[in-house]
Formats: sequence, C-alpha cells, structure tokens
Amino acid sequence: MISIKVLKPKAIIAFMLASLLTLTIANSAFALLYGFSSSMLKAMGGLSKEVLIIQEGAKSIHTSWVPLSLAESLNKLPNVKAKPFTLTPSIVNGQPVIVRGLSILFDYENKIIEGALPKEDGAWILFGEKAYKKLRLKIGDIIAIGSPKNPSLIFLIVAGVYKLGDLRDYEAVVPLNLGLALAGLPKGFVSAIQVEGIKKEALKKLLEKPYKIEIIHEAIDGQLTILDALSLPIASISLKDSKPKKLELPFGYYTFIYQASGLASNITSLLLTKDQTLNLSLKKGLFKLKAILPASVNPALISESGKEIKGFWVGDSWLFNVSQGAYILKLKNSSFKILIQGDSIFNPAFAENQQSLKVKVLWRDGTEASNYIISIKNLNGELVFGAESHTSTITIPLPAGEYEIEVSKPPYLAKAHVNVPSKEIISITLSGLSNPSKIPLEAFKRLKPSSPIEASIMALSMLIGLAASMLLALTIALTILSAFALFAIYKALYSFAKENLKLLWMLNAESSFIFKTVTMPILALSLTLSLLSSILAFILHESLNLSILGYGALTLFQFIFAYSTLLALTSWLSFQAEINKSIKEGFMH
Amino acid sequence: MGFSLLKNLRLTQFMLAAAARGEFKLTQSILATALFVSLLIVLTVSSQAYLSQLPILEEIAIKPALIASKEPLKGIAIKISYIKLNSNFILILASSNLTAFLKLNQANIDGKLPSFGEALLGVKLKPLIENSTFTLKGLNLKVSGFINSPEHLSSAVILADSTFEKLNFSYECFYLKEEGDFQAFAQAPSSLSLIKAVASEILKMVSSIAWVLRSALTLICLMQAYSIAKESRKTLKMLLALNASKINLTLSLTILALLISGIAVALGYAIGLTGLALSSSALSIFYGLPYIKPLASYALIKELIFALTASFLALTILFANEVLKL
Repeated sequence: MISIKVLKPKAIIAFMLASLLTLTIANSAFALLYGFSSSMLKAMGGLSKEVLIIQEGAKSIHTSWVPLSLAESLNKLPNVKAKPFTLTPSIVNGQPVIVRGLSILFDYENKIIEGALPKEDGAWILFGEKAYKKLRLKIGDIIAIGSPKNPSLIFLIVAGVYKLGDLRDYEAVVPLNLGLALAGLPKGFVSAIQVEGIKKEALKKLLEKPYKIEIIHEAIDGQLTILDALSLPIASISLKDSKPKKLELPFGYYTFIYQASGLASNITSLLLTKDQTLNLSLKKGLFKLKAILPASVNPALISESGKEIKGFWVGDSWLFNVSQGAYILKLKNSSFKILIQGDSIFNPAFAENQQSLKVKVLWRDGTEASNYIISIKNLNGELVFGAESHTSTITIPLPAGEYEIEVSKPPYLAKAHVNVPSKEIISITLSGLSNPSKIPLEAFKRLKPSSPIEASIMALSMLIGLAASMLLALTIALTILSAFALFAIYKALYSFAKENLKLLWMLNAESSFIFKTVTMPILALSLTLSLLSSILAFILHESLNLSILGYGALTLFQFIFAYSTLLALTSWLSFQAEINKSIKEGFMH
Repeated sequence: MGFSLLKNLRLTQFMLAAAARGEFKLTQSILATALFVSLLIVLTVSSQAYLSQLPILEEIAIKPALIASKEPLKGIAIKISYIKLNSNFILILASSNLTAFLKLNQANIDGKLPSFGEALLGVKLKPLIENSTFTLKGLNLKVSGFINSPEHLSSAVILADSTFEKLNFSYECFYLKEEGDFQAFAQAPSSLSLIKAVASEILKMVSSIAWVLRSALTLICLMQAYSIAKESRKTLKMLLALNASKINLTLSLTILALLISGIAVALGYAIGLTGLALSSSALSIFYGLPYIKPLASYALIKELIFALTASFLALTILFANEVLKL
C-alpha cells in the first residue's frame, strides 16, 4: 500500500502498460534476432556439429564446389565418415525452399510422418513438415523446380514428409544426382562434405598441400593412368624411359593402372596422406592375371625361367596366379609377351585385329580442347585405354566392340557411347568453362575445412547478403533501442515518485524501509511483467510465422523469458540505483 | 478572457520557460517517445535501403530461359504422370511435340522418338527391359531408344500421346515455354524469382513489425502525453488563477505540444539513424556483411509525419482535457 501511495496509482498503471509494451517489443526484437541468426547460422552451416569441407574462396555453401571423390577418399580413413551433399536455394509454389541433395538418407529413416521414404534414386522429393504445410502440398503432387543457375526444369513427385525436429523441417530432400542437377554442379562435384571422426585441424593439415609421388619403374613402354576414388582418370604418364617420374597429387585415394598393348594392370591403390615413393619394380606377392580367351583355347603361361603356370577357367576367362615379372602367353597359333606389375587383364583382341577410332574433343563453343584425359571402358566398366592428350584429336587402337568413352578435364566430364569400328570421327563436347579459375587440381588445393559457424557466415555474406545484413542490423538496433526505451520508462517512474520518496526520507525512513516498501514491490512487478511480456512476444512470434529463405526463425520461450528477465532486472537495478543515489545525496538534485 | 495574440505569446513563452525549468518533467517523456520513434525509423530506413538495392540484384540475376505453367500458354503441353515400381518413382511423360520437349531439355538420346506402342526410356531404366520391351500397366512397349542425359530424365519414360492415352493414366498437364512471364508456376534459371521471393518474405516481415511498432508508438505517445498533462496541472491552475483564459491556455499548450512532438521525433530520427548505422557498420566490420546505407525516402517521411501526428494529437487532446477539467 505504501508503495502504491509513494509511486502514485496512475503512474504505476502507466508504468505497467509502458513496461509491458516495451518489454514485448524488446522480447520480439530479441526473438527475431536470436531466431534468425541461429536459424541461418545452423541452416547455412549444414545443421551439424561436424566439420564441413567447402571450397575455399566460395562465398557460400551454395556456390561451393567440392570434388565428390574426396568424400570417397575420406571414407577410407579409419573411423572417418564423410557425407557429401548439395544445398540449393529453389522456388516451390512461388516460395523459397532450400533443396538438399543426399546420397545417404540414414537420418530420415523412421522420421517419415506421411508417404514413404523411397529406397532408390528417382524423380522424388521429400519435404520437411514445416515446408510441406507452408507450401500446401499433397503426397503424390507433381511439382516443377527450376535450377537457379541452369535453364533446367525438373519435375518431381512429392513422395513423403519427414519430421526431424530441427531446421531441416523447413527444407526439401532429393536424391544426390538430382541435387547436383538442380545446383548446376559439374559431374563429380558436390556443394560440401560433412565429415565425422576427424578434427578440423587434422583435416586442414591433410588437405592443405599436395603430396609428392615419385614413381620408380623399369624401362617399360606403356602408359600409367591414375584414377581417383571414383575411378575417374585424373592423370596419365607416358613410361618411355627408365627415369623416375614425379608428380604432385592432393590427399586422396588413387589407383594406378599400367597399360600396354592388350594389357591393363591394376598396379596398386593407395590412400595418399604423405609424400610417397612408388616402386613399381619391387612388388612382391601373387597377382591375378585374367586372360580374356575362350575355354577351348587352353592357354599356356610360361615364366622367364621357363616354368609353365597352370590357368583355371572361371566362366568367362582364364585366370592365372602369378608373381611380378615377364611372361609369355602361348596360344594355339600365337604368343604374347606380358609384363606383370599387379592384378592384370589381358585381352589379345587388343593386341590383334585393332581398329582405329578417331575422337575429337571440343568445347561447347566449337573451339578445340587440349590437355584432357581420355579413358575408354568396356561394357563391364573395365578400363581398356587411358591417356592424356595434348591435341584435340586422338586416334585410339581398339578391337571391335561397344565402349564408353570418358573425356575428363576436371571439373568437366563428357561421356559417349561408341561402336567400334566407326567410320566417323567421334566428336565429344565439353561444357564451356563458366569459371576459368576452377581448374583441375586447383579445385582440390583450394579446399579448407571449416566449422559450421564459419561456413554459415560465408553463406550469410553471399546468399542473402543484403537481406541478412538488413535483418541483422534491424533486429540488433531494435533490440538495443527497445532496451534503452525500457530504461527510460524506469527513469520516468523514478521521476514521478521522487517527491514522495523525498517526503519519506524527510520522515526519517531508512533506506532498508524504502527498499522493502517501494523497490521490492517494483521488482516483483517487473518480474511479473517480464513473464507476461515473454508470453506475449512468443505468441506474436509464432503467429507471425516469419521466414527467410524458407527457414523459420526458430526460437525458444526459455531464451525469450531469460532475456526479458535480465532486461527487467537491469532496469529495476537502475531504478534502485537512482533511489540509493538520491538518498545518499539527500534528494538535493 | 478573450483571445489575444500578444497575451498568448507571453503565455507560451512562460510555459516554455516552465518546461525548461523541468516543471512538466518532459525529459523522460521526450526520451521515451524518441526511442519508440527511433524503432520505427530503423525499420523504415533499413527496409528502404534493402529495396533500393534490389534492382541491382535483379540486374545481375540470370533471366529465366524456360518457364512452366499449369495454365495454358503458347508453348509445349506436357502430360506428366508417374508409377511406383519396386518403391522407385518413375515419371511418365507424353507430349504431342516430343522433339521440342527434348530439345528444351537439351536431351541426348540414343535411338528414335517413340511412336504408338513404343517407349523412350531413361538410361537408368535399362535393367527393367525384357526382350527389348518395357512393360507398363500390363502393356508391352517396344523400346525405341534411351535418354542418356539430362540426369533428371534418366529415370523417366517418354511416350507418344496416343500411347499415354491408351494407358489411361491420371495426369497433370504443364505448359513449357522458352522465356516469358515471371509469375509462372516454375522457371529456370530461377535466380530472379528467388530474389523476388526472398524480398517478398522480408517485406512481409517488415510490414508485420511496422504495424506492431506503430501501435506501440501510439500507445506510448498517449501514456507520455497523459503524464505530461498531469504534471502540468499545477502550473495550469496557477496560470488560470492569474487570469489566463482557457482558450489562450489551450492554444499555448498546443504550441508546446507541437514543440515537444517535434523534438521527440527529431531526436528519434537521429537515434534511429545512428543506431542502424552503428549496428550495420559493426556487422560490416566483424562479419563482412554489406553496410546498410541509411536512405531518406517518401516512406520515411510518411513515418515521421505519422510519429509527429501521433505525439502531437495525444498531447493536444490530453492537454485540452486537462484544461477543461480546471
């Protein structure tokens, strides 16, 4: 009662209204600030605590190019799990949605609340519960999504709805191959790789520099083709003299294939984590030689010492277990010299009856391409030819048959299906270089592991750049100014009560009495108002359902209440400090 | 008791002097109102700065080259259905102009376009072929060729219109066209529509917050006006006792109200601009985000007039009410 009399009833009502209003605004501004910053940071950073690999220099996770083979290579490290994905801002039913391309849907299993989780790649799309509701979709709907970069419209079937309970509920998920098509990424590249089981610093060390490989070999005529973890050729070395060959490659899992006339030997596969010397002359142990011959041929394999090695018919070819060295394969009417360096496939058809296949490689604008790697695989996917070509046209000796030609000039890859013999020159077109700085090994070298926060800041700075800046500046300014407004209201309350407080002081009321009778009730009132305003701000925040780039501004009531209480307490302390100061100075001012 | 300009000016002068001495306790009220005005200023200035940059973003965005619509338009009509085969979704597409459709998709095919009873299959559907035929809804279709690319057609089945009709699929019809209206159902590249959609989200948000802030400003103006009017009661009683007319008092108070409102709005404007500039420059320095350059605009003037009017009306009404009570 004393408190009401001292502070004046009408002033208390005005104070309550003003405080409630100001606290509600302050809380709403804070909820927006917290919601947007945390939502965007988490969403743009890949929604995980794991390390993310993105392209160094990319302004956003959405514009990053990371070689997919790196994920395969990282998965070869003990206890390391790498998950490649794409993230593409897209439009569905006129509203922005982030579409995530994934190859592994482990996180989404048992999280489907409507429809079903497709088991194979196909023309399907899954929606998070929040996005599904917002976009007013139905299971079985056919939607069209356009790539932000390419003139490519993709039709997809709404297959299911998932609920993970995090920001991914605002996204959509498609198979990785469609994610790549939507993102407009070249074949073999993804937006980012999420890595578990290795620390950021260790990963940084692994990726920061290329490693030297010295290849020691005997003078053998042939070609050494190096395949990455996705079995795509990334380098080819001609072995014409016995000089050791040196090359630099970034971290990765590589397979070395030796090719000579009719022979393709898988020499070794290695996970490159340090500088290495590869000695092709000192290999020990038994290797498998697969000779593509009919069962009736019954070939004989003779070693250098004249010993005959027995072969086994395995259904489609003859198999020999041999050690490294030179051999002679004797058939009925012919014999072939074979040098075994590792597991090998020998097809005499490649050494005999060869046809010439002419391949011409061009850029999309018709200009001639050079310095590309060409590889030819049979229909079983076995590499039968690989070489680096410095001219646009290359002539390849091949026996008759059907083949897949791959021309690789990373990050570009073009494929063609051919029937040999072919009278025509096979023309293969590489898509144009949209960004000349993104060239083969540069793409590997320019990677850096970063925490989700770092990745998020990059994403924020580019993807929604101005919008993010505007929203953050706006919400920060609103939060600070509304806090000041609350302080001003408490100051006003003190100003109204000052005369009555002076009266109390003149009546010899002690400061403890004033504290108990005046300021404590105001503290209780402030805390009540902070709770009430938190509830109001939370209701307002939820009902407005504001979003940016499809992501909602997720916030928790506890955070709003904690901020509100802190604000009310600080303002009350300023009120209390004013009273203490006045008592100390004898209400002179 | 009548109206006199000279008397009124003297009265106003006296009231201003009293206000300056702190008799109306204006400082706190002006500050509180100014802070609420600044909130509105921050919102308006930042949204206007964002809007002013949008045309630049739109200029650099790639214009749509392909659009899809559910409404008939001059282009290619494409019928789309799907089947679920071994828990895999397979798109079934048909059009009377398959050549144009495949050209729009830059499709690379081996073989020929399907005629009646034939199917052009995505390359990933090869394992489903038995004896050179593909079975769809019990109908054996001869495989006319394969689509090697693009990726999104690699698991699709393309049929001639007549085959599609015979199979009696329920379907959705889309119309595809090169270039066109931005309001289409879908477009590619979609960067322009993405910019527009994100801008629309932000403007929706700004508009919602603006309504909340305008309501809050009005309430605060009323509360502050009430407290000022109440504080002025003693002075007004004294002036009435000194033979000042109620009309003169009201007019002087109106001038005072205008001054108070003007000061509060000007202060709010300054605080708002400074606050936004400070937070934006901090974000720019520490996070490299673009700096929001405060921008004067018609919308800003509108908000300033609103704030001035709200404060002035609240003060005038409550001052007049106070004078009437005397």
